[in-house]
Amino acid sequence: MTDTIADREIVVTRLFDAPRDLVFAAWVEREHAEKWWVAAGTTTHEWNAKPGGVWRYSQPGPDGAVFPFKITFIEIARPTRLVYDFESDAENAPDPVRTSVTFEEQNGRTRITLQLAFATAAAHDEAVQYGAVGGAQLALKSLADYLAKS
Amino acid sequence: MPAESDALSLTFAALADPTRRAMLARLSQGPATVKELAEPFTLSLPAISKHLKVLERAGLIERGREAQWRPAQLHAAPLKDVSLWLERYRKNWEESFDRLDEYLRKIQKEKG
Repeated sequence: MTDTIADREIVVTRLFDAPRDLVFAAWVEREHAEKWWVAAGTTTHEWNAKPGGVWRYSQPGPDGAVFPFKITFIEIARPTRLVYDFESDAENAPDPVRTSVTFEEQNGRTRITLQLAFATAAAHDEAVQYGAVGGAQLALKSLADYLAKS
Repeated sequence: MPAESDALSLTFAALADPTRRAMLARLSQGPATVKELAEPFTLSLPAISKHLKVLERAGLIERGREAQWRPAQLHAAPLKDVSLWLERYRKNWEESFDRLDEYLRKIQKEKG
C-alpha cells in the first residue's frame, strides 16, 4: 500500500455549462460567491479575496443557531486555480480544511475539480491526521467488499 | 471535544499505520490468529500484538477468548463512521455545486 497525496483527499468534480472566466468569478467575487457558496440567510462580516485575505461569515443553522466560518484565500490564479483554507470561526475549532479548486476549459464548458485535504495546520497533529485520513480511505477501499456484505 | 470526534480520532490514529491497515485488510477476508497475521510481515509476535491492541482499543477488531489462539476478527462499525464523516463533506459539496450550477444558468440567462 502506498500513501500518495491522492489517498489523503476527497475529490469532487463536475462539468458546468458556462465559460471559465465566469465560473472563476463566481468563486472570487463577493456578489457572486454570496449567491451560491453559502446558504441563504448568510451574513458576510469581512470579504477580502486576495492571497492571505479572509472571508468571514455567519450561516444560520436549522434550529436558529448561527455558525461562524472563515475562509482564508491562499492562492488565486485566475482563471485556473484557487486554493483556500476553510474552518469554523468558533473557539476551539478543528484544524482548517485545505481546499484546492481547478478550473479546466472543455469545449466552452468548465470542469471544476475540488480537492479537500484534511488537517493542514497544526503541525503536531499533521502526521497522524494526514496519514489517518488517507489510511481510512485506503482501508475503506480494501474493505469495500466486506462493508457491502455486512 | 465531542464524543463523536473523539472516537473518530481513535479510529484515525489506528488507521494511520500501514501495518495496521494491512492487518485490517487481511481480517476483511476472515478471522486470523496473531501468528497468521504476523506472516506477511518481518515483525515479531509482540510487535504484532501491540498493533492488535491499538486496533482493539479503536474498536476495529474483536478478539476471541481462548487464551492460546485469540483469533482476531474485524469489527467494521468505526470504519462506517469514518466513511460517513468523509461522505458528509462530499455531500455538502455536491449540494453547493447544485447551487452553483443553478446560479450560473440564471446569470447567463439574464445576460441574454
